[in-house]
Amino acid sequence: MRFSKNDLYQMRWSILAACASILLGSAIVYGSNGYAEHAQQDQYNAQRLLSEAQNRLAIARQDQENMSVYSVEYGVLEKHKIIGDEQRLDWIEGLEKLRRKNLVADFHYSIAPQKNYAAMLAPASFAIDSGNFNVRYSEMKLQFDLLHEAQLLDFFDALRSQINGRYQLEGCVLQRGSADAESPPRLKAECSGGWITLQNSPK
Amino acid sequence: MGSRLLLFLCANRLHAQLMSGDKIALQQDFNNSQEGRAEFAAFLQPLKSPAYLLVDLIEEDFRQETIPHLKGRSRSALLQRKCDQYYRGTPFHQATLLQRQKTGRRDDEMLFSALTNPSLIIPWLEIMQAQKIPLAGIYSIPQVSAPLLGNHSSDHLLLISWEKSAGLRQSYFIERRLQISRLTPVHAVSSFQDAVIKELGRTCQYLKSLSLLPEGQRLDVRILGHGDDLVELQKKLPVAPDMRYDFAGLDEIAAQLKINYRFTDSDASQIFLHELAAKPPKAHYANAGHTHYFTLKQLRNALGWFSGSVLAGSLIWGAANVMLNNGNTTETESLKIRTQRALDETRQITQTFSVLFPGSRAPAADMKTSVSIMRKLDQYAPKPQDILKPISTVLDHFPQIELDNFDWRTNATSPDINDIAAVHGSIKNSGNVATVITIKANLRGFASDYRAALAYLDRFQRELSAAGYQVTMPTKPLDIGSGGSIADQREAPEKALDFSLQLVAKAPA
Repeated sequence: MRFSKNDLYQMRWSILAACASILLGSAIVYGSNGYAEHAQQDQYNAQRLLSEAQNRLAIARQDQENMSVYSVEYGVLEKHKIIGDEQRLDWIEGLEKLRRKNLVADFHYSIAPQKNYAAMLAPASFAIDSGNFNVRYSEMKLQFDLLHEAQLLDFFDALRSQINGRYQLEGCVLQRGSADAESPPRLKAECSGGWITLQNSPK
Repeated sequence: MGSRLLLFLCANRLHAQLMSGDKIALQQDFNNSQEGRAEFAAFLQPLKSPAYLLVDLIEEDFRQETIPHLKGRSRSALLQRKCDQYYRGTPFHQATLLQRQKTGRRDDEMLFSALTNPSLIIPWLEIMQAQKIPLAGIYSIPQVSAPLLGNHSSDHLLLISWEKSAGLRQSYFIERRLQISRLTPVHAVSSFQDAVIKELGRTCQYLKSLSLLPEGQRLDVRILGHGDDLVELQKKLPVAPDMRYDFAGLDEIAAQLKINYRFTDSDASQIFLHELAAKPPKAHYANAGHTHYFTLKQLRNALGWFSGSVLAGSLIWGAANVMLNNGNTTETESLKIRTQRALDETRQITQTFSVLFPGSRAPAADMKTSVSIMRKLDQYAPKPQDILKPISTVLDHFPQIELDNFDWRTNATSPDINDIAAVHGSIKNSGNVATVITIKANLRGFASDYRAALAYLDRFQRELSAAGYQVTMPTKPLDIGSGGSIADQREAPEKALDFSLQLVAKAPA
């Protein structure tokens, strides 16, 4: 069967209705698919946001617990200037104050350049999780002239309590000095250790 | 069911009836004349219903022929060629498959038929074409007769019906397949009963002459008519051994076929018209040109169904999408509420921080880390008094030991300490750092009593061990081993007995 123009004219409303239904149907399907996609995307985003919020809440709770446990000790560290850049001037001034107090007969010190403490550690024996910090270490060697060994103990007590900073004493060698007719026998001591500072790692 | 226009055409008149459902809404008869055709045109004017044209004409020819079994275009071409050969002068022809042979080449047995006097039909068709009436098809009475056979079991059946305006129609079926049909025009007979009695014998003879009714075969005759006429006819029909009669009342047939019509005489045309409207046969005499407007109407209907289906489908799809995702939306709202609660709680905790720890700028994790580092370092750096005091306490018990040198080292960074610690199995690979103390001293006041000196030193070592140290002696005051050399020492009686000890104290874990 062949169609003439007249036939198409007669069928115009049916053809238009079919075209309109296709367009309208497509719009409905497209719109509903868009709605469904939007709803699913919303749900996915909401799930992601919830997950993030729950993580933040867990971190906040952990922080709350950490703060209640560690804030006082951390405040002490901040006060003693252990957190941040090292304060060599404070150390020198503190050592000179100790010298003036004559806690020991005499002492000399030498401070070496700062190093990364973690790099100096034997890996299997001493592992520190330093988190966001770099543990820095400035080696300081001390040489003492002592009248008796208690002076050494007093000196390190004073060093700990009176100088801002943290000195990590690692070892000492005490040996009897040579006897002299004019002065009582003295002890000589040589101690090694270093100043520890915790610097925030660059992010 | 929508409205349908049923047309019944016989030689000299056309009956038209508009069916609304199964009831006749409008009907009119038209003579085969100029006036009649003009009236028909006027009748059609307001109508757009599909039309079914049923013809009952003498000029209908039937031919049986066996053709090879073909398919597709070859079959169409063959059938067209046969129709052109038999019925060149008429466009109203058709070919119907009766059966396929069961033996031999299994050819097709075909029934070719045609309305051989198109001039009786074409004028009416032209009017319908002009009015753009959607003509579904052109059918003949024999074509729509098959359902009237009912459940008759006979293989050789003659169906006789009476159409008031056409005449007596006799259609012969073998195994329920139409073989031949003939119409005795109405002007040739006076009444239904007379026509049946007069024509039945002739038809029987005609069938036998064509060998359509085998010799000795009994012919079953099914006669349709009004109940009263049939009673009368039953009395008049001669009893013949080779014929068996079956009288079917029109009202009974109408009831069987669910036709809502009250018959007042034996005119069966309404049975055929209603049956045609209810179940129009697929095959008919009209060609594509005749059914052009019906095809267009079907296309319009199909497009309408298509449009409706598309709309309905898309609406269902859309509704399903919306309904299914409404659950998602509800869940999303629930997630948002939970998120907001978590954020509120986080904010509350943060605000509590600022109240409890004002001015604190460091993150809590950093606080924990820094404090943990310092605690750990504290473990590895005992105070000097913690190292000196236990050894001093032991030394107080041994006044004859004079200390020359005291060296301790508590240093995780010093590889030599780790080596020393590794010598002592208890701290090997322990992951802790040991404090290693080296003592250099001498024994006084033992003169040449080496046995007493060594026993004294041995007690000293045991006491140190009891204090928690692991003790080794790198340098002994007197080497009494078999591999060493010993010399007389009388010349220097006050010579000190020097020795050295290494003590390893494990740092607390």
